[in-house]
Amino acid sequence: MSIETELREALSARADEVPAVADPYERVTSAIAAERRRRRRAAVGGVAAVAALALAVPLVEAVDRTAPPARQSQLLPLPPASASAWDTLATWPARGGLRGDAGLLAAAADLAGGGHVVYAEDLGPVRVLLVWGDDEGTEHGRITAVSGPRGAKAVDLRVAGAGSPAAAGVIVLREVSDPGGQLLVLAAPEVATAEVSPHVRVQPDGTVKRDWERVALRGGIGVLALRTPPPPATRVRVGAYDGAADMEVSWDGAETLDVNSPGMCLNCSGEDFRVQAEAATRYSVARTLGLLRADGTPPDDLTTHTVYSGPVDRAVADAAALSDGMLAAHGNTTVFVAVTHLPGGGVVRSVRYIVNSDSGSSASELESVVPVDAASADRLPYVLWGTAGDQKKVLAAVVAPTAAGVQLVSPAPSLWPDTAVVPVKAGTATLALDGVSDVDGFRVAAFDSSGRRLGLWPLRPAGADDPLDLVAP
Amino acid sequence: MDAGAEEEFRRFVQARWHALVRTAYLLTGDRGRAEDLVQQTLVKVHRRWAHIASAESPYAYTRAALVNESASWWRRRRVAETLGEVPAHADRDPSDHYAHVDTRDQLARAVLQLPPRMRGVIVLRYFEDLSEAETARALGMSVGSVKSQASRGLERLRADLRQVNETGERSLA
Repeated sequence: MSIETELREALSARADEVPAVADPYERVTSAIAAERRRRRRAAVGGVAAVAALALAVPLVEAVDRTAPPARQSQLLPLPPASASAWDTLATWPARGGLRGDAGLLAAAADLAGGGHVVYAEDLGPVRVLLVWGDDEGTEHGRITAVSGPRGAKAVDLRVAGAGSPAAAGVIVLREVSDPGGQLLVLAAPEVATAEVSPHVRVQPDGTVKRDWERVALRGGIGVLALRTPPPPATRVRVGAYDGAADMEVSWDGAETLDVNSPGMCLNCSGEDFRVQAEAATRYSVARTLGLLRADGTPPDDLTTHTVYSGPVDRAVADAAALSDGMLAAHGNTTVFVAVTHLPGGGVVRSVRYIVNSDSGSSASELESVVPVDAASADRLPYVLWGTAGDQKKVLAAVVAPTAAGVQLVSPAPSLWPDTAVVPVKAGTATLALDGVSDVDGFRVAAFDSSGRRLGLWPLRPAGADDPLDLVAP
Repeated sequence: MDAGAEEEFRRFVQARWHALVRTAYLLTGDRGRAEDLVQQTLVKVHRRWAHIASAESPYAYTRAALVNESASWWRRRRVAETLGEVPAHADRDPSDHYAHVDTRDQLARAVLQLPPRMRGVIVLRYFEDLSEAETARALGMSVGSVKSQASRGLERLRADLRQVNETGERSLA
């Protein structure tokens, strides 16, 4: 009998040990109710619920989902568009059909820990109130989103999330409750339009392109219903603001379920680590770029493979401050470099590091989604670098598993000489730049075993500071 | 969720609970943990039911969520810490007179020693009888990874069986 047949019989026999249960629904509904209570408590306690989301290529479908004012007769007139009250969020009056409900507004402000409501409305199935509060140390204060079911009373409201205004007179909020999503834009009443670019297209040469849609605002407000939640790559132009929609909330405060949202397996090793890390990266790239399918999975033609997964020189990790104080005496740092091929021929690189120490493990991203030239994606070296103790020396770990040797090439050899060509061992090489505190202008060259140069790339890739074109030039 | 959708979810839970717990049992090796895992997964499924119910197969979706949930690193760590404390056949009926070491028993136990992702592949391929492509889609990995994980998993299971057989033969000698 083959191992496969034996295995099938073994698993089937083992599973047969599970007895049938009469009605598990009650157990599940109890757990659902308990989970709701727990989340409500957590939200009221001030925990900003930021959801992980199922995203797909979103398109603006509608411009207005606001409800007609419920009690128009109680609404005070708003200041004229030219009034100075609109100059800053600190003096914005409340807008929206519910702005006349003093009890509701007071409850929302109370939940937010102070401040005043700048928007109150029933949006489709939810009741939304945005509270602006002065927050020491922030440029434009803080926005707290308070929500409840449509028609909710004050006692049923809770905090859904919090974040910073986009600019002095602009609030842009990505609402990401599954299955749909909304982009909420608030500006001064005189602002008549906004432009929205929900996603970015990565080109095979590593550049990116955006498509823009112009949407009309009504009284400075736009509620854009999207087919799927707007991804982190969303960029918005409204009034004087042009940039990312950083503030992300979920009205119901619930994290969404993504069946294919695998995380890193921090205590795995070898192939198991690699497989998990690739799956996590693949999902993360699709989510960031808004490429997840409607069922929350990456498309089949979006593939991720490992370029390098292994340790990085301890001295470089320390210089680059990767460990963030976690690296204990017996700790070590792993760097994971992956390349993801996107539908359409674009390629992005992702880099993560994992610090394992006596006190636990942590993982973080060095690059989440950085478009690179598809033609050299697998050969493109990744350079981790940092300044050593006296700030007069740069230590660099060059990850170049397809090369036999690497070299850092100076922009001014008379001032700072090129490094020697250093052999690559197990995929990496460690190099030092003496008398240098930054790597601006340096390039990295890779060589094969015969000494032939395979390529020369900027050490700091062009566009690395804004790889997804989220910041206005 | 409206009443109609809730009723649909209720019927789904009643129809699929047992099958999900069977799969979860193979992934966790403990009946209580298996039920907790299924419950936890269904709580999350309930939040997205309006979307999931319209999917091609709510069961396939939920089963994938179950396997991914079981493989998440934090759960893996917790299970790994306690697996060693679980008796080889903790949930076997005490009246089972055939609770001695046999091949099937060894195989089922050996599956629990596989890394979680590999375990998920093995269970989906050889218990749920999913194809390599279906398994890949459920676990969010490539077909190539499924093939290599399944191949390595089978090799490990063969090695475990060989070791047990050799130990058994030596002890009988």
